Amino acid sequence: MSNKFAKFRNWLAGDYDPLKNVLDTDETVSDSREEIKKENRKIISEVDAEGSTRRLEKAEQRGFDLVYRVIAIVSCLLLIGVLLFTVALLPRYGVENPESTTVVKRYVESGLQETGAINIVAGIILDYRAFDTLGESHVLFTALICVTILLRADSKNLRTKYEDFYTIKQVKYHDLNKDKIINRVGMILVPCIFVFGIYVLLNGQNGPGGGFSGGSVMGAGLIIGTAAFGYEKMDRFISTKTAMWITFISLAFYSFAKGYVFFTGANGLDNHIPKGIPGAILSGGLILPLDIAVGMVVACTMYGFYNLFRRGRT
Amino acid sequence: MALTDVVKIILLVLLVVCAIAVNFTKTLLQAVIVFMSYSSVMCIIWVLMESPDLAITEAAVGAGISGVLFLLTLRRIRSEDDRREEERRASGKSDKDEPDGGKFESR
Amino acid sequence: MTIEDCYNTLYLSVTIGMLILVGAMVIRSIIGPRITDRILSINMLGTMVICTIAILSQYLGESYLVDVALIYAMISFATVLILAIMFLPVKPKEPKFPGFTLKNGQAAGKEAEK
Repeated sequence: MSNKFAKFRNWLAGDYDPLKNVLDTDETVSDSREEIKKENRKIISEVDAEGSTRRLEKAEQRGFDLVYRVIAIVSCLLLIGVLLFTVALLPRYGVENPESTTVVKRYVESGLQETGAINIVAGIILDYRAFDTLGESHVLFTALICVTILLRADSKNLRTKYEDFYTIKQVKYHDLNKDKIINRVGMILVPCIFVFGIYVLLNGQNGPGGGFSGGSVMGAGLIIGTAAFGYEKMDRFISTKTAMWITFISLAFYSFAKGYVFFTGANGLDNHIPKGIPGAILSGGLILPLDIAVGMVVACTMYGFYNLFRRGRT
Repeated sequence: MALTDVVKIILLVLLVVCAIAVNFTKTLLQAVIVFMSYSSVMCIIWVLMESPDLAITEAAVGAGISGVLFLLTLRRIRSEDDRREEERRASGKSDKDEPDGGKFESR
Repeated sequence: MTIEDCYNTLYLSVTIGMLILVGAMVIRSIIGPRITDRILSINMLGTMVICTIAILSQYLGESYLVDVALIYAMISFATVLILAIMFLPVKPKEPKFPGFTLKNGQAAGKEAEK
């Protein structure tokens, strides 16, 4: 009896540590850590001895540092100056000027009739100003291509021993996808996030959401799913190659469809795309397919970024 | 001064504090966490201005994509290891001095 | 003072209270000397942001703003979980009590120390 109360009193006073004999002490870990560090240093010296990198002298190094800092500060100040100047040139908020009287009035009053979308923002993004959205999607695609060029670990530009150093010798960290908590949580959460993302995507013209919002939510769902389940299972669902193909096809579809509308509109012809009843899902002309295309581009771009940052290959 | 003005002033002050604090942090992990809180405050501002498109995108990107992406990239470049090794080497003390036996980091 | 004014005052004062607490959480995530302080403050910040969004959507009278709170709840939960798991330093060892045998036939606990 007194044993139990002694234990409780100890716990209350803060002396009892329940994790004392359960978790490792740091000694065994630091031993293997030292071994791994020695091995890695040997590998790096072997690999570096083959190449011929000239190391800078001390004075050269200091000169380079100074020049680097000066140029960095000067370019930052220049950028700040240019941005502030541009913001000062924008029209003032709430004051009468042609942008806010005629253009906004036209958007707000005849937006519903001309585009068929209840959500005027979606109508502006994908109907009145669809050219800007086209450019934006191309910017996303270009960013993905640039990151692929820089970070892709091919057989040509890969030192396999270096890749071992960075990706395999990680004994100290808890493996994310073997943890049971995140596995179970992922099994419940990731489908919910996906379904919600699809709901936000499809309701672009009737309520809040649209292409970019829905695509971001789906991209976040894909990233969380990969972190929770691991690469093999996620590759079975959507491999990165499939994601790249989806991006390319969506962008091509957007370009051709909007090109057709521009062509007929510029020549005064009538493009026979039905407007539908506002409030239904199949309404707003071309807004729904273009929403889906933009959403796919955003989601697959985020997924591609994650894979490239994480393991260096697609 | 109406109450809505007070709300807006508090939100903007929080925003400026977060933005300045991202720069003056010591480690990369700290900067990523302050960035996530910046994104949360920005989400409240979008909701106050009644723009749900922007709020949904900010929530998904700030908490999900940039949060998790940055954290896992930090893990890949192993900045935590280097930082802990430096501290241990610089202070020259063993882990037996800390009350939790060095299991959780301090500072 | 109509009923609507009373309700609006209530909503806004509660929002101001929540925002002061959000400020406290932000300061804790900047100052907090250990990493566990920062993880906890991020978790609590997410929850408070969800509450604030719900109150604001009622104050403005627009019901579609609650979607934002839903997304925030789902995603911030998974983010905090990943953050907490990532910085676990070690993996657990087999517990030492008598009668427990390890995989290669050794006995753990006090019998092994003999």
